[in-house]
Amino acid sequence: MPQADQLALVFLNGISFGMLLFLLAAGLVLMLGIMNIVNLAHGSFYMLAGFIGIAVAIKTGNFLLGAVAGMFAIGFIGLVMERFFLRRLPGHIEQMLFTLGCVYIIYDLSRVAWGSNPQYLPPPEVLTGSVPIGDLQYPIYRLAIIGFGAIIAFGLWLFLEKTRFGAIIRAGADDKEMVEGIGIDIKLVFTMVFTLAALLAGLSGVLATPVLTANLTLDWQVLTLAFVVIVVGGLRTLKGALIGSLLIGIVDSVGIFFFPELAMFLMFGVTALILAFRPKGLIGYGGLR
Amino acid sequence: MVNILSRAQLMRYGAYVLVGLAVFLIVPQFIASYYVLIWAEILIYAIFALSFNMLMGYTGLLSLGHAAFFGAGGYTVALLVVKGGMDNFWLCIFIALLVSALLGLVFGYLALRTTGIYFIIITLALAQMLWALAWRWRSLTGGDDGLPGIDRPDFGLPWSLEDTTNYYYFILVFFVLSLFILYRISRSPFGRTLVGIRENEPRMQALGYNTWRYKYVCFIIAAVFGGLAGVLKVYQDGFISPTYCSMMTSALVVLMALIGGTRVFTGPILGAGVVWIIKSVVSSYTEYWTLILGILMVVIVMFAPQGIVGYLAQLKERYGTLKG
Amino acid sequence: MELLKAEGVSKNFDSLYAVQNVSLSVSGGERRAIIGPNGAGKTTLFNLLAGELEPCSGRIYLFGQDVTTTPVHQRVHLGLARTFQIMNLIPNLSVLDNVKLAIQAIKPFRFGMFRSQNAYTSLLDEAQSLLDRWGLWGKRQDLMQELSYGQQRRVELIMALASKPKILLLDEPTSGLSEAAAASFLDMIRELGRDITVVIVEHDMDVVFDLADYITVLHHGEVIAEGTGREIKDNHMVKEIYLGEES
Repeated sequence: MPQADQLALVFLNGISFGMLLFLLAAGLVLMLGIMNIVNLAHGSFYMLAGFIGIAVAIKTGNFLLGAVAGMFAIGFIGLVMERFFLRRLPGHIEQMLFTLGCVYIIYDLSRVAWGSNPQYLPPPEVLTGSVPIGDLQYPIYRLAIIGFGAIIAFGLWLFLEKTRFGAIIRAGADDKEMVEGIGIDIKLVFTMVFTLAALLAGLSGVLATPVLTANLTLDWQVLTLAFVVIVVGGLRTLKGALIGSLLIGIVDSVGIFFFPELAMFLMFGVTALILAFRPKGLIGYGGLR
Repeated sequence: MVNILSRAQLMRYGAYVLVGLAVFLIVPQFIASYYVLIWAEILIYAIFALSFNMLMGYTGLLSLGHAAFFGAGGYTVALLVVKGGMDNFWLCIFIALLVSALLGLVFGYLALRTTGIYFIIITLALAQMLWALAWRWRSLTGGDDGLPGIDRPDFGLPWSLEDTTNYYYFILVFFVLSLFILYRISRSPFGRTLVGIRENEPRMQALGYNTWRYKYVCFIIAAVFGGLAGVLKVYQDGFISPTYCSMMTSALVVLMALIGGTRVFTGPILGAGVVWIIKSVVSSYTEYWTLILGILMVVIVMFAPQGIVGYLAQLKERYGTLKG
Repeated sequence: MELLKAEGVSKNFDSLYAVQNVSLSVSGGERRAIIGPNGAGKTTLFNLLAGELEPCSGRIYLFGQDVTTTPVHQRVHLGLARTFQIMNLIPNLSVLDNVKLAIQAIKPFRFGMFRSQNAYTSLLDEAQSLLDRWGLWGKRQDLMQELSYGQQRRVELIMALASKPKILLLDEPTSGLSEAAAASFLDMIRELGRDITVVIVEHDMDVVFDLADYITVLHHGEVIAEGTGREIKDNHMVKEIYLGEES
């Protein structure tokens, strides 16, 4: 019979993992909402960011630099991908297939650069150590992720709801033609959204490294989880992405703890059922918000 | 029933068939068994890619989870042989194809409730579900380690199928059979209707076609042949692992169909050849074969989305008209 | 005999009431036009009759049978056919292939998987007779997208006729056509015997008064007038709503 502090740990693990998932899912939702594409390389972004972050952090001895490097490297890659390639492709299917090709490219470049061994990065000095929860210790870093994730979520909300850019993005999700009609370059919006999504993925990838190792299986693993999240959350809203991420984070955490054998199976099975019978997800649909 | 072909055309097709037969039957006797192995695997993946293309090229449905059926076929055989001690090949393959069909029935029903991007994601989720089962249910499937010990079928013939070349001929039979059946289906009223559905589903409905039924049947056919490929592969490998149902395998078959060309029937065959050769042969010369595959994919998508075969067909047309 | 009947049919999208409590009845052999200014609900009503949309209330009957929830493809088998304003079937395939698909739709062998489609010679024969009748046999090998707009519309009509419908729904068939092409298209419709009932949604008043036996006028989703061409021409309400639209 698990004790309260164990449960608390499981719960907190779920929330912190959920926050990492949210950063990914938010990007996917933005891209789906505005550009109607599925970026199959999103998991690759996450993975590559981890590798780059670790490499830079080790070289400079500074976690923050590593995080920034990872995040912006991926942002840059996303920018280039969209601006020079995705934009030129005629349809959504072609765009998705292009991102599939990128998965292979990123995978191999990562493998050659960093080898097949998992890599690990210790958390920054200021966030090492743990706090007691009941009889157990819980890493401060994980708590920091929860806090940081919440800040980013809030920041994204602010961005979408309160800024001009955000308004444009929301409008574009609802009605592209109208946005173009009032003189906004929708192509620029696309590029910005894609880059933003990439930045978020990169951030998630780097932040995850003290918690999960960076390794070559991450690209598909993380991508499929992110898909589960957005399906549960309804595919189109950030709010759904947040709730979905936290939910899946907890399910994943609980699943690993209580019934590791069936957890993933159930998770994907439920995802498929939701898609088949309630594609609006468990949360519902209401524009990009 | 026979299309009226001119004598010249008949002779030309006859020549192709003879050359084809010669190459596929005779050449394997003279090359190293390493190459025969690769060739055999290409045939297996060709069946897999052709089955996938029924969905993508003919009906316009991009499934990112086709490996589910590959895995279903493979795991059914593996479980029957390793856990059930069954050594009757025909029974094994029959059950495996049945399982694939049933899976196609269930998955198809769920997936076809959706369209477009949703369809893509749901097929991904369904395949991942199967993969998760294979990976986590260690007691049944051996988990990550898989199940070893699957011997080639023994028909009591003087030629043992344990020999690479002999097993190649065995696969060849199934390949030719699959090719024949799938080709016939593609030229049939059913197949032509699928093309119409791919191009303009609402219009086809307005003409009187129950498009859902067509898509569903197509899905099941694709499932069965995907399962067949999995069966052949598991006997080829002698063991099975969760990679049979993995996202990588699903992506691989998409790659094959795309690179070869989805709009021409033979496209996926060429695609299987190209991709597998890059994976097997090129990989012995360079460690960058995955990168090469990725770049090839990107190049094809950007510059030749009709795939290699489609591109060649286009060239032939252009060159043909130039010749006047 | 009532071939097509709508009874108190309504359709709304969120808060937009596109069609409100519309009833109409079309008899066998009739030439019925549905007209109304932009936004009157013509297209919505058309799609309700065709089966593309399901009404929020009311019922639709085809040959006396309740088809309110019957899907589009089944209505074709009951004898309904429709044309589209915009969609061509397959631009990249030949006219012949397109027409063959249209003919095949109601054939029992349309699910056949083993013989080549070419083996079913009835497809070619019927396609030939249809294309020949309307003078397009010569174009059969051309890709659909290579035809002129007017020719494409004719093929569109041919494909609708392929299922040997008893009732034909035409969705603004002359829009975008030159006067000559429109006239030739109208000739096509006139040549159809009275065993095919025609319901046409139209903007062009000349076409309407020329072709229609009976006219239904929609405004703001409701039927405001019904009658023969002369009656509608003399109707004050109709003249009012069309003021400025008619030259």
